[in-house]
Amino acid sequence: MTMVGLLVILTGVAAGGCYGMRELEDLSLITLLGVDKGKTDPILVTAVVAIPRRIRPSAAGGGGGEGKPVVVVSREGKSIVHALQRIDESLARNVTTIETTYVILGEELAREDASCILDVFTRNLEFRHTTLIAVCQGTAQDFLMRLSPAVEADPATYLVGLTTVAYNDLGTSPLVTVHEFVVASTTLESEPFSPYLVTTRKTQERVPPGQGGEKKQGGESEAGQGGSRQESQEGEEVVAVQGAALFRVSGGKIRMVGTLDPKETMAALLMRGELQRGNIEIALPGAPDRQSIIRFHHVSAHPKVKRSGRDIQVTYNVRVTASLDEAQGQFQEVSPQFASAVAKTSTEELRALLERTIEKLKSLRSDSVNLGMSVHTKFATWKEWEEFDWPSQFPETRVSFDIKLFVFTTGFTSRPPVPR
Amino acid sequence: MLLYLTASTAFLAFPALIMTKAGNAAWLSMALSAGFGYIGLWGWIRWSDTTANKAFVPALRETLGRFSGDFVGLMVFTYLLSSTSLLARVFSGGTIIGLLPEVPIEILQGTLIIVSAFGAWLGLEPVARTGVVLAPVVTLSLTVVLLASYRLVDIRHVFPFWGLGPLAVLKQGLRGAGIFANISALVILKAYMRNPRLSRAAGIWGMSLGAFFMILTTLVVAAAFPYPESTRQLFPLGVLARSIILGKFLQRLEALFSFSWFFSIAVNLAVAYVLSLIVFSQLSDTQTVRPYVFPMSSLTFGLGLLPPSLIHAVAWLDAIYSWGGNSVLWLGWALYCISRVTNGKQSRRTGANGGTVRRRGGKHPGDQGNWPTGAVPDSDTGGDAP
Repeated sequence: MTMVGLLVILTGVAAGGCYGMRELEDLSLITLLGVDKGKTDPILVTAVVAIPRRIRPSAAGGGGGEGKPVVVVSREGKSIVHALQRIDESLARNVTTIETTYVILGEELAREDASCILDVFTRNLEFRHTTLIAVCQGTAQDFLMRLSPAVEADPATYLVGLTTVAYNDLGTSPLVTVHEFVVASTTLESEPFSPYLVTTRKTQERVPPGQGGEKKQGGESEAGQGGSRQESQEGEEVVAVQGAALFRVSGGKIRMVGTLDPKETMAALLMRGELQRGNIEIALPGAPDRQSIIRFHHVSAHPKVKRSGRDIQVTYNVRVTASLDEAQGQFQEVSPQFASAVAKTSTEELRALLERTIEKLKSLRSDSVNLGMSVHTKFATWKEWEEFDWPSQFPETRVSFDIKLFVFTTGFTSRPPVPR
Repeated sequence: MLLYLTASTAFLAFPALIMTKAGNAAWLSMALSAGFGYIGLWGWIRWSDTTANKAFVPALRETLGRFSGDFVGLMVFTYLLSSTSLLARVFSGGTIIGLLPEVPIEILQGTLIIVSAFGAWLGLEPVARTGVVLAPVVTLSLTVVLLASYRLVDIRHVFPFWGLGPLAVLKQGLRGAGIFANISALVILKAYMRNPRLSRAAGIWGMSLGAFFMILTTLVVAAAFPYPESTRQLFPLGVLARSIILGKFLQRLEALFSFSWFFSIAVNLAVAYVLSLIVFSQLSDTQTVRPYVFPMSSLTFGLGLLPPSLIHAVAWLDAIYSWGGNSVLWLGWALYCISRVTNGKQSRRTGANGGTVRRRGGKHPGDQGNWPTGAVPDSDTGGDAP
């Protein structure tokens, strides 16, 4: 009896996985998903489907096969799932989003209402909360069709790498998962934001004959001002992270209301307490015609909230450790006074940036820095907080910055004896 | 076993359900519920002290008389049976939503019930030992999920501190105490413990660990899913598990966690089966439980499929925990008070001192107060005694 029981149990447990079994070879893995406003149907979905044998690295380290490593397919539908079903009809395999790393929203759809993409992530098992989300200039269809990764075979890996570097090392782009987007759009305390991506045609760079396959340094994309840039050869499209797209939730709709440039994005990340590294440009004390780069190594920002009735005053305690990374020309001033002057100038520059950013957010009524999350700790119950109506109070909130910036090195410890 | 009984609901929709009623202060409600759970447990312990080592139903008969004792025993049995049935349904539904979307619910629920009922058929000790063996696995998986979801957690989400208000928190705390009603299993199992003196410590440990996991789970869910987003999550722990990324080469870890939770629910159900079988066999005055295993598992399978949808099943289970659970939780104190009054009267009649009845053995054939310890079905010997 015991053996029979065990046999029944083991069979039951093992056979559970047989239901709905789909072999990997029968699947089309969507790595990037673009969503736009449709023309005949409400939604246009663009799927970047990976072709694994072409992504596989070869012995030489390059692409493993001939031809493009992905196929891009677009279909309209009444919903995302409906459009994906239509894409299914044109491919020989079942499409699945279990490996989707990025959802790209077209700007027109984002400005009208981005909420249409969120429901499927809450309900459908194949859509994961860890998927990243971004808005692109123009349509997502165009963006994905023109996307030509420079250093990666797989466009999804390239795009993730691009925004991750911009987020971790430059602080010029947010890195937002669908989970964070959903949370920000469903709560009173914050508004969603996302990376803002642009594509532009490269025109300045020349490639020497016979070096068509090499990437040259020194060019600059039109869209990459201050953002994360990708060099490329003439005629190719380049993708740049151009800061952040800001949203506001009202009337059940999630609308994109504006953008932050890369520097403002850095300031916003600082206020959110997420900034890991960043830099600002200042005019050198004593040599205002010379620009220099101040790199932030350690940054922290803690909002202190004072509430008096409906009056809210927030002071951000900002602490920064920085270094002078580069100065134009052979400028080799070395003295404690110079270091303190650099710190003072940097502090003022940072303060101006932070104030400009918070004023922009207030004017757009988009609390993308999660200020509400700090303010609501001053309320006892949810009812009080609801009655306070944070979205309408955010523009009225007084925000100040207490910045202490420490420059631990200006790059030199002593002045050369005979400067030239 | 008590830990499984008290903490397994953390894997289900309860953290989200509590947030619907108490807002982001759900963890406070859960802490209050745990406090009430301790008070309820203490009532059962006090009553248990007055009945020496008698089995559950004979002790009830001694306190309440034959008819009322059987009625209350039947009430406890009904609670165990209905909560077990719906628990199997809700967990199976959750597994389908979160892990195996194309598996028919009947297959999953049937597998779960067969596994649990087979454990109950083997007896109390195999179930207990399985529980002990799997406890580290389940604890580890739960801990890993709670720790690894740190990226989603922001402690500011648990503010405003009182959520939907102190009154809502208190009401939900009282209502939610029913989740801990299964701790009353202590008095059913006491007669089968090798050392009944350890029952009190076992109860307190089981309750404490269960309360710790439930409060921690609710707190993490509240911090990861701010109100009201938290109320939209049918199985928040499952979503947290799906959000864990430990590197490119370790993917789909949630399957591992979910299966470990499957074990936890299976042990929970097996313990609940054992308890139901014990109570029913005592009510029937039979010396065996095995003939009831198949009918009872069929009954739970059928009862579990009664709710027309998973939403109904969750609502029914919530109602059973709220009303049935609370009734069972506070029953211990009621029994203790009655036994004090009854024993006081007996003492006055006989002129004896002390209120505790120390009657051992039973005049009625079904009075099984003297069941030897370890008289549960023995798989090795094929023993059939409960």
